[in-house]
Amino acid sequence: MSGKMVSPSLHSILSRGYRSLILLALILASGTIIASSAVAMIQHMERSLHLTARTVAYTVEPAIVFGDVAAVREGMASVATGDMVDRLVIVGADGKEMARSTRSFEGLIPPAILQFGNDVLFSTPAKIEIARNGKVIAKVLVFGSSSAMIRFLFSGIVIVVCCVGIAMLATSILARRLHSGVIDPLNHAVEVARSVRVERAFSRRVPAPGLREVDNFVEDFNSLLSELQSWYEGLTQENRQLERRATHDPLTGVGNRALFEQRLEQAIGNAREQESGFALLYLDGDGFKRINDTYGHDAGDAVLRAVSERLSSCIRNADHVYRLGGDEFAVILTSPVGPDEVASVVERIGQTMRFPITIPSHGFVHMSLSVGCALYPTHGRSAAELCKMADEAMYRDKLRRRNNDLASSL
Amino acid sequence: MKRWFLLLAAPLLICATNGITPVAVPVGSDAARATAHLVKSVLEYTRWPKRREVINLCVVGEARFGEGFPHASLDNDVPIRRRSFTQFDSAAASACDALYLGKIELGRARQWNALVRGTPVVTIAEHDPQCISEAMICLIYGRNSLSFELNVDAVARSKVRIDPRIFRMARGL
Repeated sequence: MSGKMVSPSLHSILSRGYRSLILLALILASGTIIASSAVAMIQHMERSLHLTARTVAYTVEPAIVFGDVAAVREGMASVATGDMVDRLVIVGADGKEMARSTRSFEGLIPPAILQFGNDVLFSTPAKIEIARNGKVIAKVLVFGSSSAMIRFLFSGIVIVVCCVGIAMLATSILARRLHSGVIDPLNHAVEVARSVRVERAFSRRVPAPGLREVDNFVEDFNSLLSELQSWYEGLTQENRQLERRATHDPLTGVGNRALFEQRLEQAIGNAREQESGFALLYLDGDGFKRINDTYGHDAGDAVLRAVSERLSSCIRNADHVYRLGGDEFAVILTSPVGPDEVASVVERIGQTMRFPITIPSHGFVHMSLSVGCALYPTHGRSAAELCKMADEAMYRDKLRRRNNDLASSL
Repeated sequence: MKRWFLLLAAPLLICATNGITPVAVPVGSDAARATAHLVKSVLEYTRWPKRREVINLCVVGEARFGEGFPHASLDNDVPIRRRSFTQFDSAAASACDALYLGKIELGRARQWNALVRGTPVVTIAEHDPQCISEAMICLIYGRNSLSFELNVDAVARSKVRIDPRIFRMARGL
């Protein structure tokens, strides 16, 4: 996998998409609301500052006429309360400052930020002239404080951040739900596809998660799997038949020469490994050619079938009969096997061949078998040696039988 | 807007009713000038039922501001005319718009105040620090200051109206 470009997962794409969409929507909405609220608030504060200035002017007017500075201060303090006013200055008709009140409420906002806010928002003070009968006796200057605005903006930002946090949480929950609904079935399908590829597990199916689009996909995927399964089964069966045809004799159903050679090598390998022995029998029909010529090929085929059946019945389950061609057969008696056992098998074969063989439309025929035996490792250690030895033994047996027949006919 | 105004005006109203504020005006050599300024300022914030073309200030007895007062007319150019009395004169009192009681006995002062009760006359007592002469405004001379007390009862009985903003500058009872 390393070095190969890994494409991004659906999960990551979707959750990233959700996140940026929510972030954008929240920032747009909150930015608009905060900005419009701030504008409305500034206008409101400006009106309020004017009103404060007017009220201060009304309140302190008699005190100014009386020349009572203490009353002027008190009047200012009584009106200019709260955090909307940064400072309040009353300037006399001669331009000299008469009284000043400065905000005492400091709050948590750093002075530098507060000063910056004041300079930006309320650079010009609200100004009201105190006049009596058309004569200006004093001026009231009210400088606004930005502390309320700064607190509003700060709380706005805090709320936006909290909302973003909540939205992110919701997004992750949504993404997880999506994960279980869409991505888990997809992953399941991928896993099934892999196990089909690696283990040929065509019988596996992906369960439907209960989402229509995904269910459709899963259904198609499963039906594709069924098709693959039946196609694969057909193929394997055909392969098996082909293989059988390649290694078995179509007439008698026993293994052919190719299979025999293969099995012989295996038997040698096993015996060498286990340091045990096995036996190889070569068998040849006596007078088969004559039966074939006399009764026809159908009769010959029937005899061959009967021989292979009888041979099979004389050996153990682990042993096998092979037809090497014509009326030539071979038997591998797998290990463990001793000379006595081989002899008894040969004896059984001789006995079973005494019974007549039914041939179509002509009754019965008799056919004996010449048997040659080779033992591993006594007679040879290679396939060629063993075959040669068995073959020679068989010919000796055939010769002996012929002589016996000759002798008995005399 | 109206609510905002009320909210801002509330402290003012509260202070106007409970105000305990000495008017701190330096006295000493300037006592005469301070007294004259105070009397003139009181007249500035006094409203008579009908607009006066001229304000008749009746001065009874010897006054702190001396013989030179008034020097000028009010801010709205209404002139102040001074009439001085040494004797109790019930007939003359009807022509007064303001009555300034100078250095006279308490009994006499009460007589004068009783005379103008229920008429549009603002009364100021100079020698009544306890404010028991039933004058509307009683002057209080400190060592270096001049303040005044407002007799709310007398103001209420009178036909003249005094700007409520004056109340906050008066010394409490």
